[in-house]
Amino acid sequence: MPEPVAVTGIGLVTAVGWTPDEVWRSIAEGRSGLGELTLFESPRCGHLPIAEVRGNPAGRSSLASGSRSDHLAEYAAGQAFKAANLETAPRRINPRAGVVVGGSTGGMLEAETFLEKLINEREVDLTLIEHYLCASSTDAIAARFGLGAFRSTVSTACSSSALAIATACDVIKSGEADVMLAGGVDSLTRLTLNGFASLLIVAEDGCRPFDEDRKGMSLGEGAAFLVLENEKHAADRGAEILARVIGYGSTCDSHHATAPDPEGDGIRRAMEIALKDAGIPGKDIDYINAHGTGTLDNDRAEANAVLGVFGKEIPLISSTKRFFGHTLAAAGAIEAAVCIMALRRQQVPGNLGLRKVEEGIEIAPVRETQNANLKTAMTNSLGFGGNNVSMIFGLT
Amino acid sequence: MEKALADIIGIGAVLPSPEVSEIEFPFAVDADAAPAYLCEKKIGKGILPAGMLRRLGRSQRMAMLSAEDALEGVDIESTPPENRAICLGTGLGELGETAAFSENMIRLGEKEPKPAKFINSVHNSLAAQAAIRFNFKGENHTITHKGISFELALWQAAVVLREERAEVVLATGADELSPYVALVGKRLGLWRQTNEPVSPLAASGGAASGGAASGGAIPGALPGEGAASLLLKKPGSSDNRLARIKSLSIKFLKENEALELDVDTAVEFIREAVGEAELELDGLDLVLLGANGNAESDAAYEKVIEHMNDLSGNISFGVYRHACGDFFTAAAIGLYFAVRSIQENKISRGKACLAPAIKTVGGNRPGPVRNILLFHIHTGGFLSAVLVGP
Repeated sequence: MPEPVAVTGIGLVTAVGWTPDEVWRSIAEGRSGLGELTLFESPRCGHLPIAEVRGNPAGRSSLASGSRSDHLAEYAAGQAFKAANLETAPRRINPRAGVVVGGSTGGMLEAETFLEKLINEREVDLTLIEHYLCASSTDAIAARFGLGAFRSTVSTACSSSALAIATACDVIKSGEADVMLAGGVDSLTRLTLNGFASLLIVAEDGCRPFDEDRKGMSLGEGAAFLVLENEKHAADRGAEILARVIGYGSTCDSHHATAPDPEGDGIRRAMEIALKDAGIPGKDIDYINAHGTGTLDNDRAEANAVLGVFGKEIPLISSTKRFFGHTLAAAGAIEAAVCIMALRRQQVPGNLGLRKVEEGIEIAPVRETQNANLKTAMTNSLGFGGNNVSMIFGLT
Repeated sequence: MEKALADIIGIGAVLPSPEVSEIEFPFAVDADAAPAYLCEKKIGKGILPAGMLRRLGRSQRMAMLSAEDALEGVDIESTPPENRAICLGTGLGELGETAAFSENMIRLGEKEPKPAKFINSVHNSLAAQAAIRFNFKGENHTITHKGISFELALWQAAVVLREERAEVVLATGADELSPYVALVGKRLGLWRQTNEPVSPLAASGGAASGGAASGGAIPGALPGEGAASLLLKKPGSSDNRLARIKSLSIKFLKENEALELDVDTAVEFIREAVGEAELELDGLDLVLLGANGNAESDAAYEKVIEHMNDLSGNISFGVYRHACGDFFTAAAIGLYFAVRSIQENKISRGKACLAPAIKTVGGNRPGPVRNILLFHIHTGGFLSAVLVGP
């Protein structure tokens, strides 16, 4: 079995809170972050509940300038660094520390204003696209925390940050860094709001993953980061190990540009690879945080895949999408953080919004947050393009 | 013991025309058009099925066509789809489709947005479409990190092969030239506005310009576009390799450090990259540089050339960006040219390019070409070195 990678810090920002404790309080209380969109004006305001981060990210982050995504990312990354007892204001670049960020919208929110000014006023305001690239968040974080070993930006739609965490593990296992900050970010944009609406997969009553009356997904925004470390490095500096990344697997459906393989073949293989990587059988998984977006296709495919891997011994399972919406590229990292918090708190989050499981979906998600004896947790991420990632975290 | 990273068993590329063309701006600001190196307008016509042509954006088609070239003649069917992975680098993804969706959304007040354009807007739509067409069901990575995107994809490909998470990996670099890139680049002063062809290093006044082909060259870079794909296998696992990636090194600098590069740092980086493959600088037959004609960035390359010449008088240098222009993943094109040169055992003149694919610069001229180092100073704050040999 390969050496696991230690998790020594987590940080996250979602519609239900600016810290892990705030987020978990919402999960424990069953409180959703879905509400009215206030970030920008849109004809869709009022019709579609959105999980918007309230408050001003730019006011909270330490960056002098940046996109909304950059500020959200820096704030979450800073929390993770602080939680890991690493220096948040380094005087020197650390040549053994790096960062991988998963992102898909980058500075699109600001770029939309650029485009609006260009179309309507023929004005070219370059300041609005200064931070357009997804890599902007990565570079800002690297500069801010002195991360000199490796920096990369992964963009595989809704599996981006899960794959970013897997990539960071690859970097540590390759010996190219001792410490990696890994996670993801996406802010709300008109592009994603209108794009998902055009696909007719946004629910007017908010997402209800696995429910028989589910009407689709709900958009959200946020950021989450993990501090990952070579276990020896963590031990040598006396860091508290919150959990370990014990396995991960990644596959492609090769089926359709947006729709998952109906049988869930790709995500099934990703889970199987992750189990093999961890060197444990399926029965040793105690909890699955499902991708569970609330769309008809996704939930059926994922349920089929879970059934295919675990048979009749399905672990406790839930989707947490109704708490913070589908945060797209940030979802994998946010849900990885949720898994680690679940392991630390010995609690399983409830599948908020579920009333009655759709007939034919042969899994029984946990309805309310409950105590449980947890040693391992798996999280699944599925993205456009049939991109699947499954990760397993363990306490030991 | 050489620590090779991958065997290259197939290559393919989509290159722009060697003639400087004009890209039209989307709106009447500044000017109507700007000079650029462009691929043909209806790229893929007559090659890809009509339905696919309609559905796919420009960079998706480029990536797919370069992959198709790389797969030609390779018995890919003998590898199970689950063991075929893709690692793709793109600086801007499918920007054309993203912009089209957003323009439409703004003009129509968010009424009737077009789902097809939205589906294509994700960066990984390039790798996803290639996966669907060629039935690649293994890992599927898309990396988007400015000028280093392709090299990072190559790094990921090497990890996937080393860890035996796939038997074959398609490593691709692809970027289209959007009118927005041309417009913004013009405003930022990144590119010159004349239709003269680009001559990297020819006008920077350094040692290399003395031996360059074109006298009186005008300094400045031009934007370009293109895609290149390499089909990779674990070293020693194929009888049909075209070339081998012997080492890959990336150095991460501060964002603005690249242009003020300490030349000792750069040369030491190159020496280490070459040393990874148990070679000395003298063992290099050609150092292929990412110089693009921009006086400031070319000057950084000039310093490296001078310093390397001081250390070893036998090194030959070459450039390639006169054949494709400047774009985030142009290094993939450089690697494509390098592999072709190794195949032919001489500097490749490029099958899809009328101009020589690689121009030698400086005084030395390479003889038979075996070991080529592709070296880049990326302005985003990165150095990269890819060593390829037979």
